[in-house]
Amino acid sequence: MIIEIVKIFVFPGIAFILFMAFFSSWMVRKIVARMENRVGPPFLQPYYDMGKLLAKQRVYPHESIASIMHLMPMIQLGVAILIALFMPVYSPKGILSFDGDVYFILFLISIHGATAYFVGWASRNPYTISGAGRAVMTEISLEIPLAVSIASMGIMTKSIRISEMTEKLGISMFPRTETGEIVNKLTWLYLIPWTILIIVAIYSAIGALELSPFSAPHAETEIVHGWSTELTGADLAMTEMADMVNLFNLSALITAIFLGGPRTGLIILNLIEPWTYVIGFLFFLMKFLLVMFILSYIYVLSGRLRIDQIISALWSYFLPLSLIGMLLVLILETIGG
Amino acid sequence: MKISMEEIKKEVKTMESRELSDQTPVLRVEPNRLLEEMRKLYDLGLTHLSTIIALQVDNKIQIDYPLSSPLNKKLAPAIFVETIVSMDKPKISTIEDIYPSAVTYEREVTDLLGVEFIGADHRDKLLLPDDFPDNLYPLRKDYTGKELQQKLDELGVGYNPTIPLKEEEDYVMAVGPQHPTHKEPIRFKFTVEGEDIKNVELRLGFNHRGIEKALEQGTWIKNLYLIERICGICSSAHQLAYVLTAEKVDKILDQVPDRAQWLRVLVSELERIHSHILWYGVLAHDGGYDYMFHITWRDREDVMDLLEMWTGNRVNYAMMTIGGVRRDIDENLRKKMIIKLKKLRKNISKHKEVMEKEKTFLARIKNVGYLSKEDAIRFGAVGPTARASNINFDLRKDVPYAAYKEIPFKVYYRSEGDVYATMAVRLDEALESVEMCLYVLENLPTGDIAIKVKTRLQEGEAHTRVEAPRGEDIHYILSDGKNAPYRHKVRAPTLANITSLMYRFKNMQVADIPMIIRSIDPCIGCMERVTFVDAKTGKTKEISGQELISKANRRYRLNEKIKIFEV
Repeated sequence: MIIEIVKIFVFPGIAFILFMAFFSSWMVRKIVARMENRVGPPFLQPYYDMGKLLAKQRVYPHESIASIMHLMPMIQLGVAILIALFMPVYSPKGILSFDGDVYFILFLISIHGATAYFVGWASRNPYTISGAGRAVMTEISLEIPLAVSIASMGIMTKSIRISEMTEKLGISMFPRTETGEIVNKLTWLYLIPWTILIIVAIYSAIGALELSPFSAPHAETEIVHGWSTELTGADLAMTEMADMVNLFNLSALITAIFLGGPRTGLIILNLIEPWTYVIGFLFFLMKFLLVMFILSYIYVLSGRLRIDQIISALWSYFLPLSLIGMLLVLILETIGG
Repeated sequence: MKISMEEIKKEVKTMESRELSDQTPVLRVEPNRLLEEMRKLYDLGLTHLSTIIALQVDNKIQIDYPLSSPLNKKLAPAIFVETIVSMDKPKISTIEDIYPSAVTYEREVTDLLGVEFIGADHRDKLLLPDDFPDNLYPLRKDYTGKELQQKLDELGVGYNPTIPLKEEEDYVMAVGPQHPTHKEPIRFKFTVEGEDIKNVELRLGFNHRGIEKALEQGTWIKNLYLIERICGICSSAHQLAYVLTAEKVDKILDQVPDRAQWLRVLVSELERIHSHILWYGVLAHDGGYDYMFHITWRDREDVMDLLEMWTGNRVNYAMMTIGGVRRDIDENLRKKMIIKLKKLRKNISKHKEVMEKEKTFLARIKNVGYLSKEDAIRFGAVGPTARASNINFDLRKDVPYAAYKEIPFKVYYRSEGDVYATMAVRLDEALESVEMCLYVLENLPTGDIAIKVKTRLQEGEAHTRVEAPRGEDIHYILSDGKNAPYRHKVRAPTLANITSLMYRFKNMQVADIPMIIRSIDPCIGCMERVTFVDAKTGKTKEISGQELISKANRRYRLNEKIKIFEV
């Protein structure tokens, strides 16, 4: 019982999630700063930022709907933490886990988009309404490619449960005999659709996080700060925190589904019980940081696309790409039997 | 058919014709024949209206229209068309049908001298605050600067400086006066439908300082330092235009030593390099491409260091003086500069390579804010903006001033006419400027750097057009032999480009707004130099100008370092 409570509230639960969220935020900022030849923020900067925002007065503009503007950021943070509870951190199984949880997570991600729209609409400001429209359009456009690429991985691993997908990834891609030899040489071909699908998933994650090149909903020089322009004080802190947690979530989701999460993969280690968890956690961290680095790299090296360019990119390049990936997986499944 | 200046003079029915001190022909026409003659001149190829210069002479208002041609090289030097109206209810017909860019200039004249333009639509105030009294015109000679300030203080003008938007049925998005894309206050009012722009309106006047009025109160030497405070980025271009004009008025331009003229070119080109790097860095930031913003600004520090090494300042170099320049270059500094410039050339080439290749960024600037060659001519675009629309015109080449005649360089122009073209032109120009600086440093003539000049200039009037980093910058001075100009008119390049800018928003989206505004490199401080001493700044000042000067002089004598924050 106590162990369960510790799991939910401390590790790998809420405290750990928030720490990882702040850490990821700092990490991205630091990587971006170093790439741009700046110094970047100190390690504790996200904590200072949040502390300062939480202490500030909340201001609601004339004619805006204060209750929605107050409620939605809390929902965003709640939803983000709920998603994070599904993420496998040290063992293939997260705190919460059930059949079909992958799709539940996708549903929760789209709730984030909807709350963004409500905030923008309730603020009654040209910038926020523009930003809200853009946020929803981006959200709708990126959801299908993301869903298709995750579904393809589901077909590959024959599961729609994160823990099973994580566990079976290596086995289904590289099935082995007990002595460690790879059974079917053909399965190396799985790497082709896998590459396509992970690219689609990473770009979709960038879209969901509103980073460049898909940062139009937050375009600073055009619409000030998009849908969150009018948020102040604790409300803004909640949204920012939700963004940070989502940064952790999406990186961890890609790590779990495409990179095997805490599993050691091709390296076979015979370890006793607690040490597998420690090694698993270290592997998770390594993969997680790799994903974060790729995210920051794309973010730094691209300009901000216009909203029509984002939509046409997502619908006419990334959606077909994800469908091609799915087709390849299906073909390989049929041949490989 | 390319006709010359002589033929132009024959075509126009003039009342009398005279010349400025710099041999610029002035054709005086009757006010009621102005429209007809202007149309004739436009058809003859004088398509570029630089500005409208209006001034009070005795009890009349004299209005000058400097015309030139960007396409016909014979007509590149300006020709003045002049008309005189009475002070009592001055009226003149508008020329906005012929020269659309005249709208902003006419509104400026209406605001500042009270000339009414017949045939123009109802025009709101452009530069002055909305609560400015109707019968008070700052640039008339009724009041001196101080009296005017007192009077406005009594009336309480400028204490309600915000100009609220009126309620409208359309969906309006205001970009400015305060907005992340603006570095200086200006307001664009966009009527939008979804993401598409339907209409745009402009309001200036958030950054008024009254420099033109203040120039009339100063002295020729004090004005040197006031004039460069028009703008931080192109301060030396304004100062150069001012000293050249003053030298023309005083008829000493040909006595200025060669070395001084070459050094003037050097400081102008260094300024152009840092201005262009700043510009394309900010363009990248506007396109969400912050990486290039940081990298370019890092490399810009090199040219800032150069300027600081030579002049002591990062901006406002105070290099020019009437009759020469103020600081020489020694051998040691010359060598250091050459090394730094070579490093800079390498860096700018890298910027060029990256910025012309990154696809997400190119998607934002290609085919955005298109301006055709015809429109660029019609709306009087100047500088890199015009050159991006396929107009091969550069004042440094076509109307050479300072030492530009002796320095080889190439004028870059592109045919695309979009934001990308303005970027490509500026990248090429920055590289070319580095080459020019290297040429100047390697072939610098020896000799003095300045001649002695009297504190009072001769009577006379003259004008100079200078290619500032943003385009044509025109200064006009009328001297009545006293120790200050009778009238000093400045028109900075941004005001010339603003007409074509408004046209560029056609069929564009909200997301394109920052890129298109950036394309002309707007400098609001330059554009709004006219009008009026801000009553508020006058009050918050705790230390008088005299005290400051004496303090600075003492520091200089004692060779102490001045602590910036002490004052």
